[in-house]
Amino acid sequence: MRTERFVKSLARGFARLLAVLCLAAMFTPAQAQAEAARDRFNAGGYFRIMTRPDFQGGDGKLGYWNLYGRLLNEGPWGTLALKLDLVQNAVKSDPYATVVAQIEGGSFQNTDVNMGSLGVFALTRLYIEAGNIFTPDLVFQIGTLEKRFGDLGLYDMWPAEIFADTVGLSARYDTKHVEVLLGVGDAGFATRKGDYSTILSMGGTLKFKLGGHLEIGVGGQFRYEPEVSGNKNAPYVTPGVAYEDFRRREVVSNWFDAHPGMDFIHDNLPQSTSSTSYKVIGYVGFGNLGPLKWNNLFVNYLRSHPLNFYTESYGGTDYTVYIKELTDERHQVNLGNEMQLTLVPGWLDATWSILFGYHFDNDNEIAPDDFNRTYISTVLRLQAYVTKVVHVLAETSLAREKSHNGNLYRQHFDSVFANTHGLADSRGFEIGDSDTRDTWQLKAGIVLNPNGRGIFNRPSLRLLYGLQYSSQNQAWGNAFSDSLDQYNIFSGTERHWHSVIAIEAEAWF
Amino acid sequence: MVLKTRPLLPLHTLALLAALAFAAGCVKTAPVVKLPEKTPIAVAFVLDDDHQGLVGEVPEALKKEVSAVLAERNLDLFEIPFASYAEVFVPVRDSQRRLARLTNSEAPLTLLVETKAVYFAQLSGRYRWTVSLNLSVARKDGSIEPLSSASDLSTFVDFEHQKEPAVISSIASDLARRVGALLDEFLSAGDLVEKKNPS
Repeated sequence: MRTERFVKSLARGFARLLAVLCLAAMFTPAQAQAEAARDRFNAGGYFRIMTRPDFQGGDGKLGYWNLYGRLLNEGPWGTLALKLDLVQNAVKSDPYATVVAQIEGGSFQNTDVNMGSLGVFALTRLYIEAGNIFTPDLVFQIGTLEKRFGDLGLYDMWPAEIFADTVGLSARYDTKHVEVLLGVGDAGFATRKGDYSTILSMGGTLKFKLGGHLEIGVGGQFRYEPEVSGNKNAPYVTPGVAYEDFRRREVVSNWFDAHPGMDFIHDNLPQSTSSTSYKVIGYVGFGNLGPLKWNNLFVNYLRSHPLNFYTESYGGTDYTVYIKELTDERHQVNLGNEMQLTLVPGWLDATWSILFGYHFDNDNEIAPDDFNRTYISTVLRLQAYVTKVVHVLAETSLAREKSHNGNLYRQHFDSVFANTHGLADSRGFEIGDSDTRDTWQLKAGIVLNPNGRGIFNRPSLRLLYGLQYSSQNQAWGNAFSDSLDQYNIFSGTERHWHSVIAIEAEAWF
Repeated sequence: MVLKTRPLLPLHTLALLAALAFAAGCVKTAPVVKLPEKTPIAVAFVLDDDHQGLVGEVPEALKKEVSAVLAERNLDLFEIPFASYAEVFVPVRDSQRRLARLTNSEAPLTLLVETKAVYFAQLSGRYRWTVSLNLSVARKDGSIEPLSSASDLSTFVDFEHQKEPAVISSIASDLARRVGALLDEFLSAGDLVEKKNPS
C-alpha cells in the first residue's frame, strides 16, 4: 500500500515537472497574484577591460598565467547573464521555473588581437531550473550542470568543480544544514567536439552547513565512454605503439620499417575499447571568526579523460593512430586555500591564497610536459582604504614550477645548446636548460571603488604597476625571436625582469 | 637682476580647481525633511521568501541603517515586534493590506519595510542576487494618503553560503537611503512639517 502511494506520488510529481517544463517551453506569462509579481526578466554580468602599455616588447600581461595571481596576468573578459522566470508561482509553494543563459568571451574593440569579435564569445551556460515539484527544497536543473563549491578569487580558479563538461539533468535538495546534488548527463561534445562520442557523466555533491561558521563538502564525477565497434569516434587502441614513437609522431613510419610488405591500415586494425575518467573533490570552509572573514580550502584528485586518436602522414597517405592506452594515466592532485582577513576594520583588508598541484602521467616517463609537474604558489593581496572610495592595493606572489621529466624551461636564449645533460640533442625531448621555473611578482597602485570598501567590491578603477622576476628568460607573452639561425637579424636577448603599467576597470553588474 | 616669486599653484590649476568647486556647488542634493519635534514612527520589517511563501526577520544591519535614516529626520523608531505580525503576513502578501494591519499602533506614523532576496546566478566567481524592496508609509489619522515605492536592486556576495540575511546586509545602506527618500516625499506633502515649522 505504502509502495503504491509512493509510486502514485512519484508519478504525480513527474507529471507536475513535465507540466511546468511544457509551460516553460511555451513561455507562459506570469499569472496574476495578490503579491505584486517581480519582473520576469533580469540581466547581470561582469567585465574587465584594460590597457597595459608594455615597453619591454610584451603583449600586456605581466607573466604567463594565473599561478602568479590573476591580477595583471589575465586579459579582457566579459560575461552577460540573462534570467527569465518562465513560470512564476501563482500561489506560493506552486511550481516555478526559470531559465538562465550566460554569454561570455575575452575580447573588446582595441583591447586585443580579436578586436571585439563576437566569434570569440560563446553561450557557455543554458539551463532551466524548476522547483516546488515534489518537495519545497528540491530543485531540478536541465541543461548545463556546472557546479562549484566556490572559487579561489586571487587565482580565478575553482578546484572543487564538477560537471563543467556535462549537459543533462540534476536534482538539488537544499536545506538549512545539508545540500545534496545528484546529476547525470553527457560530456561527449565538451570532450570530443567535432569527433563526438557519447560520454556518460554522473556524480554529485554533499555539503554540510554548520551554523554559519563551518561547511564541509565532498563530491565526485565519473565519466564512461562506451565501446561502440564501428564508430570511428569511439575509443580504440592501435596495437603495438611505443610511447616514444607516439611523442615523436613516428608510429606509422616505424611500423612500416618493422613490417616490410605489410599495410598499416589492414594489417594493424585498431581494437575497440571503452574509456573512463573521474574527479573527486573536497571542500572545507570556515569563518566569521574575529578577523577571519572566511577561509576556503579546496582539493581535487582526478584522472583526465583519455584522448581518442590523431593522424600521421607517411608516404603521402594519412593514417589514424588510436591512442586511448597512451593517454589514460594522466592524474592530478590540486589543492588551493584562500582566506579573507579584516586586519584593521575599515582601514586594511587582506586576502591570502596558496595553490599546490601535483600532476603525473604514468604512460609518459620520457618527455617533459604539463602532465608531469609539480607547482606551488602563494599570493597575498593587501588593500588599504585611504577613504571609502580611494584605496591602495599591493599584491605579491611567489611560485615554483618543477618538471618531473627533465628540462622544460629556458633560462638563457641559447639554452638549446644545453638541453639534455648540458648538451645539445636534436632528438631529445627536453626543452631548455632547467627543470624549474621560479617566479616572483609585485603589483601595486591606486584603486577607486565608487561602491566602497572591500577587496572584491566592484566596480574598481585601477592604476597599477607590475613587476616580475622569472628564472626563465623572457617569461611573458612576447614577439621576440628565439631563433639561433645565423641569418636571424633579431638577435637573442636575456631578460628576466619585466614590468607593465596597467589602466583597468572591473565590474560586476 | 629681478627676482620673481612663483605662485604656489599655476594659474591654470587654480582655474581648474575653481571650476570644479563651482561645478560641485551646482550639484543639488535632495534636502532631508527634518521634523521640528521628535515623532515616533512604528516600523515593521519583513523578509519575504520567494518560493515558499514564508516570512522572516531582516538582519540587524538593515534595522540599524534605517534607524539612522529615521533619526536624521527626527523620527523615533519604534519597532513593531516581528512575532505580532509574522503569522498574519504569511497569507497576506499585498503591501497595502499588510500596512492596514499595522496602523493600530500608538505611533502617528507607520512604516512597512518589505524585502525579498532572489538568487540570480554565480557570475565570474561571485554570487549575484536581486533584492526587491517595497516600502509603504501611512499616517494613523489618515490625513495623508499612504505612500509606497518599489524597487529592485542587484548585489553580489563573495561566497555561496551567504544567503538572504547576508545579501540584505550587503546592501543595507542602499536600502535605507531609499527609505529616507520615501519619507522625505511623504513628510513634505503633509502638515507635520508646516504646522510645527511654519516658516
